[in-house]
Order: sequence, then structure tokens, then C-alpha cells
Amino acid sequence: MTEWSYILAAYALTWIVLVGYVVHLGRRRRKVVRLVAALRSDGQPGAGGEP
Amino acid sequence: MSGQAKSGKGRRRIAVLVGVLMVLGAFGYLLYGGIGDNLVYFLTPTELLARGESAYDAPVRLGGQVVPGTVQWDPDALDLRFRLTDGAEIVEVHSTGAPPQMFRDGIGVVVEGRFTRSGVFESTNLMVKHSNEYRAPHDMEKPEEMYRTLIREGGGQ
Amino acid sequence: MTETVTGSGSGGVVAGSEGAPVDTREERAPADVAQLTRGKAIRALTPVGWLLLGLLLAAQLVAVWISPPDRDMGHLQKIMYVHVPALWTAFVLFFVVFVASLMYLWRRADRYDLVAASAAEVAVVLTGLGLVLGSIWGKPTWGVWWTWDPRLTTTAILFLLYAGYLALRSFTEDPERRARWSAAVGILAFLNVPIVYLSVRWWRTLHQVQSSPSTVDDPYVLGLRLNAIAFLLLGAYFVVRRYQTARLEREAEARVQEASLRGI
Repeated sequence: MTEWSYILAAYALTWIVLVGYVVHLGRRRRKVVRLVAALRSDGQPGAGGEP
Repeated sequence: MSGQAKSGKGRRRIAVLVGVLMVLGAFGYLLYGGIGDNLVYFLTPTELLARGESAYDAPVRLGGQVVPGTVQWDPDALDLRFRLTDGAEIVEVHSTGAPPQMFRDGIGVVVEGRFTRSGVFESTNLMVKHSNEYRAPHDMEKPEEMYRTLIREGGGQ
Repeated sequence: MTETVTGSGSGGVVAGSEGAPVDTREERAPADVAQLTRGKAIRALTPVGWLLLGLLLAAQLVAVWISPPDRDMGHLQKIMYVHVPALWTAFVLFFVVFVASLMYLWRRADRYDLVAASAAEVAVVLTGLGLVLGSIWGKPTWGVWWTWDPRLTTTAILFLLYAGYLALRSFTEDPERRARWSAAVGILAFLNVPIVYLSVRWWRTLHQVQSSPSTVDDPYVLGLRLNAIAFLLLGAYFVVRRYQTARLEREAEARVQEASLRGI
């Protein structure tokens, strides 16, 4: 019976980590997209970047 | 930033080189040096007994297989006795507490504890070593029941 | 900027070796700034991502469904389907870090640095997950949550090495220096991956040696393969997605630096 609680814990943890990483991806993306949008609108177009 | 930066750069390059060499050296030592022999996670019964006098009362790990038919389990006292072998030598092991579910005749185990002068290895921690085999049960065979016949109502699992 | 971004989208390392069909077109500087902050660009997952998550769930359900209890382990064998794919995927991604780091030192192109960073982040998460899953599996089967056997120890070192890699990145301000240093670490740290893999053969361990289809019955092999593929695809997708964000972060970094230079 407790056998299944270990199995459940393993699968639950896997999904918590995967969903957590997706949330992390989304957060980072939203943050940088706003920042870049702001920088592009007040800086000159085409600024930044590397050769 | 030319002259000054250049000498700083050169020094940094040497620092990087030294760091790289150190890491490579550490890995090289790990791979080809003595650690390959020193990194012994457990002793076999043969190795333990070969230690002679120094085998006694020192904390070690001992690994081997449970000799079939030697398991004595007292579910009331949570007292477990069995013999451990590497195919050559045999060491008697005593341990308390319910062993893990997979514990059975013939399986690999690693015990942590001390070899006492009475010739019994007093284990404080028993670990079951699983093989790399995963097998579906034969027809009519239920693994849970195989376990329960060995460890009947063991330790409030 | 536009050229580099486009170049990275079709660049061999990201699209080629990962093989995940991900659209990077949205990364090209949109003419309309408002468009960037709305809709598609700020979603965490594209439809492909949802599909891959669904694929993994399906693989898990199928694997759990078709697996009879193992003769020794009983149902606990099913933890294999998350523990092993997580670590396999991490190993593949560490290899991506290794190759991208070499490519960076050779070509000095920014995108290789960002590929390495993205792969390392996902791989560290998966290594951590794999370690904890192994612990959850170890308690009921081996009888302990953890033991310092060579396999477990070298895997913990692997996790720390790449966590250190990520820390190094976050502490180094100058992008070019950060890229060079982390490329060196990304290459050296990879030396540990084959050590982890072979540790079970070189040394005595509590962890078993690698299984193979000859030591594992068919339903378990099938279940593991399904999950390994699903996990690898999802991991690759995460890297691509993280990389797209990393490019934007690099752009923001460059713009901020440029603005401050102009200001002085």
C-alpha cells in the first residue's frame, strides 16, 4: 500500500518540477519581452546586438 | 585600455591555464590514479576476513549475497540474522529492524556496521542491492506475497 | 540584430541537433513594438509545448498501464519511467552544453554561448529532479534515501558542477568574459558525465549497473523507451524556448549597456 505512495510522490514531483519550469520560462519571457519592448521604443531602432 | 589591460589579460590567461590544468589533473587522478582502488564502497567477505586483526570493531560496509536458507527473522523482536557470501567466504550478519521489501534469499545486500570478535557482523544499516534485471512475474506468482511470506507483518510497514 | 537572430533560428545547434520543430520567427524584431508584448510572444508554451507535455503524460499512462509488478520490486519498478528519462535527458543536454561551448570558443558567436546556457539550465533542473526521484526510489527498495556510493556521489558532483556553471554566469557582468569562462567550465565539467555513466562499472556501488533489453522484460523496455523519447523531446523543447528568451535577454543587456555608454 505504501508502495503506491512512493510511486505517486515520484510522479507528482516530476510534474511539479516540469510545470514549475514552464512557469519559470513564462515569467522570464514576459519580463524580458516588456523590457526589450521598452528599450526598443526609447532607443534608436536597431540598437544593441553584436557584430 | 591597452598596455595595462594586456598584462592583466596575460595574467588572467595564466590563471585560467592553471585552473584548467588543476581540474584536468584532478580528473586524471580520479581516473588513472590510486583512487580507482581506494574508492571502495564496500568490502567483500573475503576482503573483510583477510584483514585479520584489523577487521574487528572498525566501521565498514560489507557487501555480498544472502545465502539461501540462512535467513532467520523474528518479527516480534524485529531481529534478523542471515549469512552473507561473495561465493568464497561467508560472514554471519545480525541486524535489527525490518529489512527493505526486496530483501530475500539470494539477493545482494550491503550492510553497514562492525565485525565483532564473536565472528558476527553487527549491522546498523541494511541496504538491498538490486540487480540490473527487471522481470515480470511468472504466471500465478505474486511478488507481494513472496515478500509477505518472508517478512510477515514486519515492522509496521 | 535581425541577421543574427535569423541566423540563430536556422543555426545548426538549436534546430538541427535538437530537432524540435519550434518557430523562432517571432524573435525577429517586430516592426510594431506593441505586438511584441502581446499574445504569442509572451506565452510560456507554444502549441508544440502543450503537445509534448501531453505526449509525456500519455507515455507515463501507457507505461504504468502495461507494466506488471516486477518480481523483486513490485510496483516500485514504475519509478524507473521518470527517474531514468530525467537523467538520460540531462546527460544529452550536458553534451549539448559541451558542444556549444566548444563551438563558442571556436567561432566566438554569441548564439553558442546562449545555447550552452539554456541547455545547462534545463539539464541542472533535470539532474536535480533525477537525484530526488532516485532518493524516493531508493528508500523503499534499497532501504535508504541516500548513500555515498560512487554513482550517487559522482551524480551529486555533476549537479554541483553545473549549478556552479549557472552561478558563474549570473555573477559575471561582462558578456564576453562570461561566455569565455563558462565555455571553459562547460567543456571541463563534461568530463564528469562519462565518469558518472561508467562509475557503476569502474567501482563497487549500491546502484546497479546499466540494464539492457536482455536484462529487462519487454513491457518495461517499451515503457522506458516511450518515456525516454517523450522526456527528451520535452527537454529539447525547453532548451529552445529558454534560448529564445536568452536572446531577448542578451538584446536587452546590450541595449542597456549601449544606453549607459551613450549617457556618459
